[in-house]
Amino acid sequence: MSRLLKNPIALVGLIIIGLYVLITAVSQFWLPFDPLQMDVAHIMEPPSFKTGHLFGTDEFGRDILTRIMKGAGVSLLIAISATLIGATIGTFMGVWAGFLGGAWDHWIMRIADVLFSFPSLLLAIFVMAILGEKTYNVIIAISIVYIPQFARVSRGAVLAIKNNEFVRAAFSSGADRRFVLSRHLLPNIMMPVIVQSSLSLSVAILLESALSFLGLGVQPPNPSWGNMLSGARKVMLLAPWTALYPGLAIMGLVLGFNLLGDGLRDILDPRLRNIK
Amino acid sequence: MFDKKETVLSVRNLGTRFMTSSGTVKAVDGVSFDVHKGEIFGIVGESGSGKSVTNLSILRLIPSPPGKIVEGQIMLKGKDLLEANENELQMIRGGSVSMIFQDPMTSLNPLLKVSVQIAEVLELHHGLSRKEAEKKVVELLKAVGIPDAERRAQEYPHQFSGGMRQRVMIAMAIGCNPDVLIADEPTTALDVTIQAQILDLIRRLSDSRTMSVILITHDLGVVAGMCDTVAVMYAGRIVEQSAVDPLFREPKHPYTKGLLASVPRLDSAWNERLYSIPGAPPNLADLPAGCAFAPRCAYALPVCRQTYPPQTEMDDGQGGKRLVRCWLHTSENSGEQA
Repeated sequence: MSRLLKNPIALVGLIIIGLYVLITAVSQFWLPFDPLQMDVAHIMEPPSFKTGHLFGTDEFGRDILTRIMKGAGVSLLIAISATLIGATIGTFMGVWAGFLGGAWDHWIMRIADVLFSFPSLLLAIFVMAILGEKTYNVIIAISIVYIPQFARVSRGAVLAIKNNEFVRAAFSSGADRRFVLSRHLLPNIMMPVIVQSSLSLSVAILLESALSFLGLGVQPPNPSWGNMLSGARKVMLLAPWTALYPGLAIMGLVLGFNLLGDGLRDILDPRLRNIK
Repeated sequence: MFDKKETVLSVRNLGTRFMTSSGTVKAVDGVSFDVHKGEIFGIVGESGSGKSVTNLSILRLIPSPPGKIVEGQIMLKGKDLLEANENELQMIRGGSVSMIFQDPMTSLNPLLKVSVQIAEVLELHHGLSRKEAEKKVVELLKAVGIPDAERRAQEYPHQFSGGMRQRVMIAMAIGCNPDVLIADEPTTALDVTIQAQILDLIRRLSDSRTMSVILITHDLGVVAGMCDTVAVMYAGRIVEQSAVDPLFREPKHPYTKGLLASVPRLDSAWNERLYSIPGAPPNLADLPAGCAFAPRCAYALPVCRQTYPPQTEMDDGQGGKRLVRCWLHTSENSGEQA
């Protein structure tokens, strides 16, 4: 952890993510305005201190800052849980396939290949169409997109590690499969998996926004950054702030996750430690 | 040398096959040898002659499929390892038989401290607590000649040089006082001065702990300097087996002769061409009938190409016996010996 704080890239990423988490926490107790309350008298007002609408109002007169704050929680929840589920199942499958080899490897990876052959957004839309438009279905859809990605990353890492002599040495000194898996293989493949996770977190934000933008994710009137952009599309030329601020919110969080992932990769490799 | 000491490990008629798409590879075929207490037993041979597979077979670490041990007996202190179950094998691996590998750069897990890796073997086999094990680790590291062992134990593998890592591997291997240490080309990846140090360390540990060592190598100089007994392997079979001195003084098998002639000599003229055995090793999936070395052998008789030679026992001139598999040395042909 102390090494995390010494790495400037990871630190910036962490601060950005911390900011979003803080905003989410605050939004549970206090919001500047009601995120759902429409106000026809004040539609598409530009950002101003005087009115209290710091980020302006949208085409229904709702405060954009409030809706971004409300949407942050949804975005974080979906991104984190989808990545966790996808990473766990995918890594499990990949390690299994890589470690056992043979027919297991063949079938697991062929299934992954089938899922892989769809573009991620298309696959997510497909799953959403089957499951129906619910917030938790977005989580399931995104994790299904992630499973083959994590399976492939972890299988490759296992294949690279498992023929190292320390794995043979462990077997030759009496370790069983479970011990070798948990003690030698898993820790050694964590680096690519964690880096993949942080990239996946940022892609999950984008996927969730895209699904909501297309009307498949979080359903209006509940705010999400994606459906805010979707609404703003119609009025973007008249009131650019309606698109600008949700867009910046997405960009900031994606940047934060990417910076953290980059920094983590440097930190987690003991071979890169102590190099100044 | 033979039959004088207690036999620790006895391999009888071991056969290991690999089923590949191009046919069944007889990686090890009819290999028999005994390792006595405190002895350093050398196995030499070129790449692919079955040296490593023989030793992986002893620990039952042949990847299966495609590998399979099809016949034989491996007796470790009266117990047949080929009939042991997985739990018994796990106690034997690293317990009574341990192994060190060729490449010390990859034989330690880069993410674990050195002390943790050695301690885990001790915890596994002796049921020591982490604290007791870590204390023992420092002793072990001192025993293998690592200076400042308390501090070094807390470091990661990348902070060790190649020679130091091999010492760590040896510390890990001797941690449970094994009866047999299998060293699979332990010095191939090290430079020459470090090689000498590591070999010297293995020799001293073998003496002080009366631990038997199976030393796999393709360096005849190492064999001459280290081993008590040596087996020469060719195409998965032992072609000659003898105490070290008689073998170097008077090699019997033409392959052994060829190997010895291929070693550069200090007393040869500088512009003399180095001898090399003509031809290439045979394809193990498609061995010729008869002796596998016959196609490359200058002394081959017609019978060599038809039938595999039986094992001939000979006197080694110092009270022991030596074993050769060559038609030139069977009783009916020994008169025509070259």
